[in-house]
Amino acid sequence: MGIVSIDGARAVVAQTGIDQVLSEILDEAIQALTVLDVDRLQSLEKRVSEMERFDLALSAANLRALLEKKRLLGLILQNCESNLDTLNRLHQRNMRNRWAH
Amino acid sequence: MGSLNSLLNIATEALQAEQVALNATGANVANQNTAGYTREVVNFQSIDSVSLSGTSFGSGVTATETSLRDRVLDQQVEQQTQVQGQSAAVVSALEQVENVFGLSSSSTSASSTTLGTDMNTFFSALSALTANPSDTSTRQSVISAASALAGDFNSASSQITAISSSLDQRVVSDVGQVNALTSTIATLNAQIASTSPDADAGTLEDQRQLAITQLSQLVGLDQITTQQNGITLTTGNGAVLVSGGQSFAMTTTEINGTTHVLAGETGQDVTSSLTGGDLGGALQVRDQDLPAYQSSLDQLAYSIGTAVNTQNEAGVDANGNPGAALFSFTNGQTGAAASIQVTTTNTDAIATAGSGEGSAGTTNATALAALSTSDIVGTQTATGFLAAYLSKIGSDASAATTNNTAQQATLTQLTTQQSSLSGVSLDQEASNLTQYQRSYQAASQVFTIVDSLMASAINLGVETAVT
Repeated sequence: MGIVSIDGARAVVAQTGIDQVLSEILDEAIQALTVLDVDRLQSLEKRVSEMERFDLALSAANLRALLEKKRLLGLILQNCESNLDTLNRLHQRNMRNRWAH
Repeated sequence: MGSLNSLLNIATEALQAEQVALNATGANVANQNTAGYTREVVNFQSIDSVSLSGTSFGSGVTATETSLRDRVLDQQVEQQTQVQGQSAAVVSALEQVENVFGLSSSSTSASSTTLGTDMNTFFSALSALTANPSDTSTRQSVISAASALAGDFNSASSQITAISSSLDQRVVSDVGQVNALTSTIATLNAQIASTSPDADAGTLEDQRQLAITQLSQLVGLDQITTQQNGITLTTGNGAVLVSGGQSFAMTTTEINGTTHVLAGETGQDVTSSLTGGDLGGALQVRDQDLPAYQSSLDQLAYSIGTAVNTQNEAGVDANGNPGAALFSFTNGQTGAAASIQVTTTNTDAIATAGSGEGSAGTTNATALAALSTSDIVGTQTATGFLAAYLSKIGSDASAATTNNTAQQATLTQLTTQQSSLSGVSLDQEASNLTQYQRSYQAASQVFTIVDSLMASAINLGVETAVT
């Protein structure tokens, strides 16, 4: 992606490749979250944070696929949150058992 | 207590304890690839010491083996397995519905389907009549296109019925597998109650756990831990499948041509309340999705047929007689897609002329042609309705696929967590949980930023930002 104009602190980025980059980030985030790969997720977080500095324009043709991937990541996150709650309760219970001994 | 004898006793107990530990390690190594095996750990416990003349003497150590299992996490995995099993079954059935219409994940366009193409051909043939109403080959095109369209409706309807029948068979097959597993679980319950009513039953519990996980792939379950280390299993609405050493077989029966499932001690009909697993998914598609698709297809076939019939009956045919119905149905709108037929092969039967203008008139041909742009299916045109119908099937299948992918990913997370939680110390467990938490936070952050990026990108539009 190339910068085509600078407006103050923000830059407008050429569209070519942006859809692809976002798509890859979403795919990688889904895979990494599935296997709980923290390092990969944190690196993705950093990568996507850097993109925040730019104004991006997406191709309408790829928008649907991107939205679908974003929705998938959202669904996994929702499940993840409820499972984390359960596992936290489970862990706290185990800790209580340990103190009881 | 401080005698040589007692020292020997302590040494013997220590050796026995070490032997238990070695046995556990041996079992763990030997079973590392055994499905459902849970790691065993050894708990060493000092036997109470005894004080004599102010001096404390230890009296040895005992060791007991315990399997590292956690029922809360196991149940979480089972529940997720049930959700994932259902979503996988839904995806598989909806893909078959997509195939009926020749849809794919990349194309849900009506014009690319046989039904869409033949509908357009039929309306084009009607339109051609307005220019040349007396031409026999033009009239023949209308009859041929009408037959092709009716055939498409018949074919699509019969394929949807075939999917429903195959789901019936799947229900029967699933019920057979459920019964085999509940019988196994009841037997294991009885063995566990007699050999280890108050403590972990090791391998027997592993086998029972494995059977419950396999059962979860088939049907949604509620699980209750009972006395003597037993497990009671019920369906979501409380029909008992296993209670202690007894299992209650599910049965199937046919009611109005549809397979119903009976369960529990009294054999209650649980068909409408079964959810989860392959059985839940098969029933969901068979009883909710397919009837809706079939009903819409019937509505479309009936609306086109009756609109054409009404208009043809308003005109005059090539022999100067009042027009008759071109399409027939056996039972009104119900089953219309399956029963729609063209009533004639006689090209003269098309009523192109209006009443009172003679057989060479074109008023009615124009009115027949106008049906393609009229709202003849509720508030929609026939092609508009078909497009919306196919789009609904495509989006249902796509949503089911996304949901299944998410449920599979979540199940993978949980089983990952299960293997690590059941095989390590509590400290390591805390560390794993932290890793889970951090992964969740980082992924949430990625999601939030992508969300914001996409929102602003959509607002910016495609052309304003880039040349």
